[in-house]
Amino acid sequence: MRRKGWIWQVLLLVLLLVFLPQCSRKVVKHDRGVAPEEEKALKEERAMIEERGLREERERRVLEESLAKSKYPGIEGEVWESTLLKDIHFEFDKYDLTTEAREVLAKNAKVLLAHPNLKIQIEGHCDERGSNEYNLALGEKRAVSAQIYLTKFGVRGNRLSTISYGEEMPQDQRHNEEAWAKNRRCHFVIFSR
Amino acid sequence: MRLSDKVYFMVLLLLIAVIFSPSAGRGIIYIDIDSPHIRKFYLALPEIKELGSAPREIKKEIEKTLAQDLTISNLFYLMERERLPQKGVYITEATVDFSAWTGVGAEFLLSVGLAAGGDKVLTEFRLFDMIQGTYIAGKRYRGSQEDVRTMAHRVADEVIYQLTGERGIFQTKIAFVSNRTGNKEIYLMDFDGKNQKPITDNGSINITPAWSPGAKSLLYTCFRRRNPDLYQVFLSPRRTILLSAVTGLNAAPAWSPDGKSIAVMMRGNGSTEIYLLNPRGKKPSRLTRSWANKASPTWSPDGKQIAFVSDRSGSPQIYIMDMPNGKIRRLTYGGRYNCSPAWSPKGDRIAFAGQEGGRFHICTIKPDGTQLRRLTREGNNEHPSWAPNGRHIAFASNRRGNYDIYIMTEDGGGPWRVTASRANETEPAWSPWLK
Repeated sequence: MRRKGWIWQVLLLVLLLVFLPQCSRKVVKHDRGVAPEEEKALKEERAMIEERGLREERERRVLEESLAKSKYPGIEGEVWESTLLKDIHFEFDKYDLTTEAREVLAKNAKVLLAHPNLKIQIEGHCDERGSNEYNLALGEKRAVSAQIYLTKFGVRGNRLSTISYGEEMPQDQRHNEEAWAKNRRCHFVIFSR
Repeated sequence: MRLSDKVYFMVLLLLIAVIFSPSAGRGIIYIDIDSPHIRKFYLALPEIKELGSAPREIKKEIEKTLAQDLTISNLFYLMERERLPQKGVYITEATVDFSAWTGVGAEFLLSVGLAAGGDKVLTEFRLFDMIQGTYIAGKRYRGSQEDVRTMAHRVADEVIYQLTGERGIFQTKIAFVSNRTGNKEIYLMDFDGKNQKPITDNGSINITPAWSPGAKSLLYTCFRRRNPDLYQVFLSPRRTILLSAVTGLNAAPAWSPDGKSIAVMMRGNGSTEIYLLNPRGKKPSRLTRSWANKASPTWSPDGKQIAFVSDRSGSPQIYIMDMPNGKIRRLTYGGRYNCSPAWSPKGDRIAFAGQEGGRFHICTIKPDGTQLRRLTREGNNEHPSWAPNGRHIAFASNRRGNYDIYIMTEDGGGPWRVTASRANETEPAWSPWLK
């Protein structure tokens, strides 16, 4: 008899623990006697929060779907590339940002602001013309240009590291204007998310 | 048989006498290479005479190597063999017929003898000044069959030394970068492209090789750790250490002539600057300071100045910094893109790559900015590197499609292609003297 009573007590406690939070929320709502406008505002807020949650969830999903693992041959570590973070391009022997590059960077900044956990590396690349040593310096400057511009949108600097590959990693192996234009770029890779 | 043995013995005796004779050649300059009126001299290099038995391949290899070296010295016209007198003889002081040689226009005669037994090879030479009718020098070298090219290079080095009073470059090496495996690795070869051997084999990007002053090690930059870090590889025994791994560039190293510091490109404050490291790669101290990019430091041979590239004028140009006071002056004004300065070991000129008509060419200029000379004509020509004699320059050119290493004399003589792979060979770094 005593033994059975103990079991019932435990069951009751468990039931209470499960249902009490929901009960109490309902209870509070009704007990306070909330005015209809207030209730409407609350509803809207809840909807907004829910919507934001959904939107964040959606953005996270979009980001996840945009990711691809990236491994450079002969270089340690695996990073991700996202189709949401677009390359920017430069004129020959220049590191200042073109109007087009600024527009792309604005969109990239949006992505970074929407995903505050992302830490990225900005890679500066050059075309093959000129000395590869000078191009190392030029690639560095291109990466820094992009870095500074991104911080203007409020992206924290410690999320943006830079590296220069100079002319060592052409995207297009050919030796003509079209290839060179593609190769003068900043590329963005994700270190952590 | 007995007779030839006798002749050989006499030759040996004579040779020993010659080697130990105090009046042997040295001290007299036969060819003044610094003269502004220098012309090429007619040198007779008759077919090598076998003093004993010698395999044909060895003889051919030595002949080919000698002819190549003497051609690359760019001091001689090698005379056609058919016209030469005294055929089939190893010519010594006893047998030389000066008038017969001057009769065909020879100014110098290099007679080479060869004997091989088992794995052992013996090479000896006699050098004559035909115009003055004098014997200049003679030497003998021993080695194994694998060493025959080295022996030929030693003969050529000695000939150059006897005639000009300067060391020859024929036993030096060139480090370079090749993408023959699909990625850029550092390799080492003899100055003439022979004996190519990999120095790095890590599958990453390896660039900007540079020699230490004693030629015991090479510095280079590698991206293996996802950062352009500086490594030092000791050649014998082979050992590699990570020298500098500061975030950002650790690239384009240049060891000071006294071996006490390494100039290198590193990340400054928004721009790339020239830093000095100690020989252990530590304690970086910034040498340059501005918003402009700096690249490619090269030391004057007295260690008091550094030339480098800066884009402070809006395009890459070469500047020189005085080390004690930090004063900087601009060296190049012509053209929109001048890069890759290399200070001659003689100190008299700075070689660089300059853009002209859309292509890069190797030029030299005096450190005071006068006497600009363009040395190449075809293709793109980049990354000059001086031989330790300050008279030859290695560079990379794509005049035949892909990039190969070429060498030429300081006035553009040659050039001679020394690599011939279907990949790209770039960034030659000519070694200091090795012995």
